[in-house]
Amino acid sequence: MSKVNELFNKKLAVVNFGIESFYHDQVHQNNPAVHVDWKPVAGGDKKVAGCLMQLKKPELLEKIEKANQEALQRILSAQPVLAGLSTAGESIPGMTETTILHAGPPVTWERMSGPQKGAVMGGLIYEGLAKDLKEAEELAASGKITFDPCHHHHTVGPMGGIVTYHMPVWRIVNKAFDYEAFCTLNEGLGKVLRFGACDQEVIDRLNRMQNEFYPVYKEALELHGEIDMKVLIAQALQMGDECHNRNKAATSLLLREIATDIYNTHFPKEQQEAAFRFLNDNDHTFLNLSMPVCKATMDPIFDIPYCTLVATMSRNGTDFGIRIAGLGQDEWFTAPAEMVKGLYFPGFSDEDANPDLGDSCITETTGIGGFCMAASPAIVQFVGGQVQDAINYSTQMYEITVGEGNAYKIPSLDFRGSATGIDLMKVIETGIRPIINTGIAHKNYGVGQVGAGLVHPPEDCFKKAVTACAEKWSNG
Amino acid sequence: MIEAASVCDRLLRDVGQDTCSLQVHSMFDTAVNFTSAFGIVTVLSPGRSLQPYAMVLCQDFDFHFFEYRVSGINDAGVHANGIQVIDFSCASRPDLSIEGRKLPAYDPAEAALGHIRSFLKGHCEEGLSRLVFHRLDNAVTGFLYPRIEAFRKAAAGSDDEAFIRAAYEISGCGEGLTPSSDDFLSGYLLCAGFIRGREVTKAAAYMAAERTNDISAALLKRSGEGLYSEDILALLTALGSADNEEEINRAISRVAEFGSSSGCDFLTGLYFGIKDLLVRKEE
Amino acid sequence: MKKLEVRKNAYYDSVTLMIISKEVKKLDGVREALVGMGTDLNRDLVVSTGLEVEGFDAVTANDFFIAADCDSEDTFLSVIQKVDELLSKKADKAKSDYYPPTLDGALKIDEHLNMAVISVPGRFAAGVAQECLNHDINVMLFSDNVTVEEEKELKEYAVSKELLMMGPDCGTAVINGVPLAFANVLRRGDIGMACASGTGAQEVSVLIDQLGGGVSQLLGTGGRDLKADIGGIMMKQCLDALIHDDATRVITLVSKPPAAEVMDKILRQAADGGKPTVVCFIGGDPAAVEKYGLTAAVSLEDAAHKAVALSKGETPETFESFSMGLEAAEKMAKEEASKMASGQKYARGLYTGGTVCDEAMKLMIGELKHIYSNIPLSPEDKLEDARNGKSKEHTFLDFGDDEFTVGRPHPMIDPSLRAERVVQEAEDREVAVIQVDCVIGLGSHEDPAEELSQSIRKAKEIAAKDGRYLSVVAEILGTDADPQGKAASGKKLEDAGAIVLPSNAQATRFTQLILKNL
Repeated sequence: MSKVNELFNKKLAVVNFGIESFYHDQVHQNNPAVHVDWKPVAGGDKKVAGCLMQLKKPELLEKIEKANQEALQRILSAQPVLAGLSTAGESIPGMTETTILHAGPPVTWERMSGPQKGAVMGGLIYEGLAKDLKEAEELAASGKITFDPCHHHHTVGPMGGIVTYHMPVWRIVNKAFDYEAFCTLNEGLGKVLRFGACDQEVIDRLNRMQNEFYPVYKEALELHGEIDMKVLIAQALQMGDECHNRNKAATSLLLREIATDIYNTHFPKEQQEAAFRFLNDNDHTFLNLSMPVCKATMDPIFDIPYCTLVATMSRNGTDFGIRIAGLGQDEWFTAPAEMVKGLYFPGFSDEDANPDLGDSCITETTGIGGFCMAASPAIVQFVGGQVQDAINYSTQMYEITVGEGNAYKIPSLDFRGSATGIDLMKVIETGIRPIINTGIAHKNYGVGQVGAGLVHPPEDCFKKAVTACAEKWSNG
Repeated sequence: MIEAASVCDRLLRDVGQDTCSLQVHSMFDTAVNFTSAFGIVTVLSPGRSLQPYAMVLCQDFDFHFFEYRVSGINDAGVHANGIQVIDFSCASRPDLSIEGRKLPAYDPAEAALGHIRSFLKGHCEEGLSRLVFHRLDNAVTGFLYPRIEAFRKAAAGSDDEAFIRAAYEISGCGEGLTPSSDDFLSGYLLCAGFIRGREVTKAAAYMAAERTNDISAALLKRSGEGLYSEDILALLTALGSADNEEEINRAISRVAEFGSSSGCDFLTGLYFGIKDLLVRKEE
Repeated sequence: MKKLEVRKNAYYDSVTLMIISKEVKKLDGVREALVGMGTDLNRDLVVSTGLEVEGFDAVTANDFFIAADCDSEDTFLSVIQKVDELLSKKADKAKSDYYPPTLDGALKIDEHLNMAVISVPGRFAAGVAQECLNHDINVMLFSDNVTVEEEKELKEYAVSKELLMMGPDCGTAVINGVPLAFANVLRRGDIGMACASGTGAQEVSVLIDQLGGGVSQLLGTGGRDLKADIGGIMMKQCLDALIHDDATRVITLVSKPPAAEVMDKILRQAADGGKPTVVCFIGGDPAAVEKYGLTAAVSLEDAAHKAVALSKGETPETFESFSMGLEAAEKMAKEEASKMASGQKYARGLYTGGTVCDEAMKLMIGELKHIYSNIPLSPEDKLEDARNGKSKEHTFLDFGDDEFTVGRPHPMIDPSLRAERVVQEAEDREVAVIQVDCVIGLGSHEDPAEELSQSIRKAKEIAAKDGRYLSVVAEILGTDADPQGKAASGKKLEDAGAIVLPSNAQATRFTQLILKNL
């Protein structure tokens, strides 16, 4: 019997798109019906919608769905551990003494945003390659310095994301895939390099981090052995962190792990104490660990053919860039970064703000950060809003993801796993963009953080990406 | 985007230009309540009477839309997830305050009592309106009767503190989403405000609100402040002109239609308020 | 025994609470019950009525509670059951009122969805349809402005999955007795219909209903299906389904005359199917059908007559007369004509249904030579700027054509433009007859006869003031089971002075009779 004849013997169940009265007619006749609150895909951009349609052709869609499930499995089976510390030059692949890694997609010195430029200049002075800002600026513009995204080097960096040769870095290993990721140590709040501050105070702190604290942490971690970061983050989520803008609990948990090991290092007590204090006094210490954990979790999904999951979201203060797992690491889809909407510190306003900046939204890419806002009521005040807003944001993200976290869970949503695996196709289809909560940097270098708030990746990133997917896959 | 037909003027003045966030509190077929910095804000389906801190829409709207969306309000409209969904630009802005309005004077007051009484006679199966006819034959009226008597006594006396306390003693009692006694209080306070001043009724309402649920508390507080729904204000106007019987009866039934027994409970409160405070005073 | 049930932070509207309270008190074995919010005083009340039980201390003002004194555990269980039943009634309703943003969301609400009705703007329609087909959901596509390429691709894909892909521009279908979009409430029966035209399908189906027949399935294909570009892909699919449908004993095909090669393919298939088949190619040559051994119909009405005859096991006979009898009709037409002033000589057809407009022109053209129209029978009779310009001699207009629907709903949903035109035509001294359709049923305006009857009154007044008499001839396209009601709608028009005939063909023939008598 043909399918149509089978239909004749079934109860008709109608799904209605468009004229709503057709739906009401069904309801009045007591027929099962659902009305779809339909909106044009990609806001009516026919070309983009056409691309989505091509991807949704059954044969291709089957491949895509399989690939996305594979990717989801890889994300969920990640086993990130903190394995130790080293300097950037020692471990980051491709690092040279004249390389400067930065946050976000590739960008030239000329197009760099104010805070990122400030951080580059600070980095050059710190490395001894320039003696003052003027010299640093000339050197940066001279072409003698290699600028490259952190993301191209197993690395992530918050805000400006500047990594130079001698900086100490945390080393994370995703043991399930034997994949390494690195991130510098968090400098704390206030006038710091990542927000573009680059005066002597900043350089002095960087030097202390390298000479005084780093050796202590390195030895302490050697004494301790690796630390399971997935468990630690999962616990922190139950304690009010979302591990992007709030890292208070996770930082405390980390210190509980290594406190005795710091004490057992061979360094003088004063140095141990200073090193301990440096981690302990900074609520954001753990941000520079949650980020490489996420990086090491996400990168293994690259190069799964036909995978439409977003593997990277990142911004350099000028552009926002995303990378799609199935299209590989070399293809960035960029658009001008948007302004963050949020609360400003006293004395600052949105006129002072730089557009969205930093690699830290790798956390949202992995399903924590803004996606776990409901787990972190405290963050709501920080970015402006109320607890229900946070719950709403986290809930909405399930519309655009392919799965739910198995370790990262949200207490206020009945311990539902966080929305995990952003599917490019779902973003295009629903028009719902990922939610990111983030700090706001001053647009000029040297000032630092001026507020915090919420931001989305620009729509164009996704439109370009879906176009590329369709071009690449639908002709086969 | 949907246009609002009317919006409570006080709400608009309170929220001003800055967006105030809204959280869904409770959802019904023809209304959704939000909690906000200004208390409960209500969005009503077309045809409903405008209430204090509420708006009435021009067309039907599925309120489940607001679930999971981040909503806010300012004097231009209501938005969800950053997109404006309700527009105030064409809405009327009635002043729902009772200030400046008058209670019926002695003769019409007597007549008003007659109208309310005869309406309630046919509608006293549920709620407190049985009290008008001294019927104490169900659990709620039997239980409340002595307290209401005490409240009426205090209302007739001169001790404001005693009045406030007595109001507290009867709040939050009875069946329904807004317990019957709260609707009764709302009606009674309308009259009491003219005699004792709104400061006293406000204090009484805020006190009484402590003892009831969120939605009923919002109703009580607005009543104490002298804010009433359009239907109730229309009834007041109608009662002031005793000559148009038909209009008065229509206004009474509009008020009675609110909720299940709430409208009748309100009318009962209003009845005793007029009786105790107006008629007796004239004597 | 005293029992307590609490729902934390739950708010139900007063009416629901009152219903619960009443229903619970009515249950056998419940001696006393209180239902409400857990405020202090209500708690005192519970104590004073002796309904207090352990756990009551924890109830707060924002909790909903039921306290009851029952004769047994079972009774209380039935109380809870009753409450849940009453509350879930609301919850279910709420659930069905939730509009998900995507098809995936809709499937989460009801995984058994098997028919999509799509009326989104044309340029997005193919995408939505494709997605539904991908999920094995049959499609009825009402949207127009879908390209031929898109249509072909969708249909070929649908056929490969054995699904229905009705449309684009398919406004009428009745599947398993469920009317979709613009359709009428029909008696179910053994006549299966496959139609490439919306109002054509409606006309035949309501006449079948009127003649006492019933419809098993009414499938639509969209107007372009039988053109050479598409090649009848969906007609073939529909026909195949009807041939294999046990509930269908007679098949009726309705379409404008197809492309020759498509026609051959379809008729051959119908002949091979072995079921009695009536074919109505509106304005087509009956011989072309009859040579395949199939029954040809000369009008939509005739198709209904023949299908019902076959369904009853009778020999189909061509019906070209009047239900009231030819004599009565002629007498009536003469009377109408006699009231007219000299110079009144033209007919104006103002239609909301495209196919019935087309049929009327085809039935009338023979003697008139030219009928001007926005959907003319031959290109030289094309009326330019039909929406804003004036009618000319004999003019028939389809208000559902693109020219009239730019920026406004279909006239079957909003018939005001057509109603205005009825009045406008009355100003023309040369007009003798205004012929209209009035399409009722699901999807249509809630009372199209009301506005139309007002216009008819106005039109007649205008003519009368000017010493003329205007004849208005109408057909109600619908059934008495439709929400608007065929009889009720017809009465409105008759009260306004219109002559209401049982079919479009009869209305057209009546207009012809009037013109002949002038």
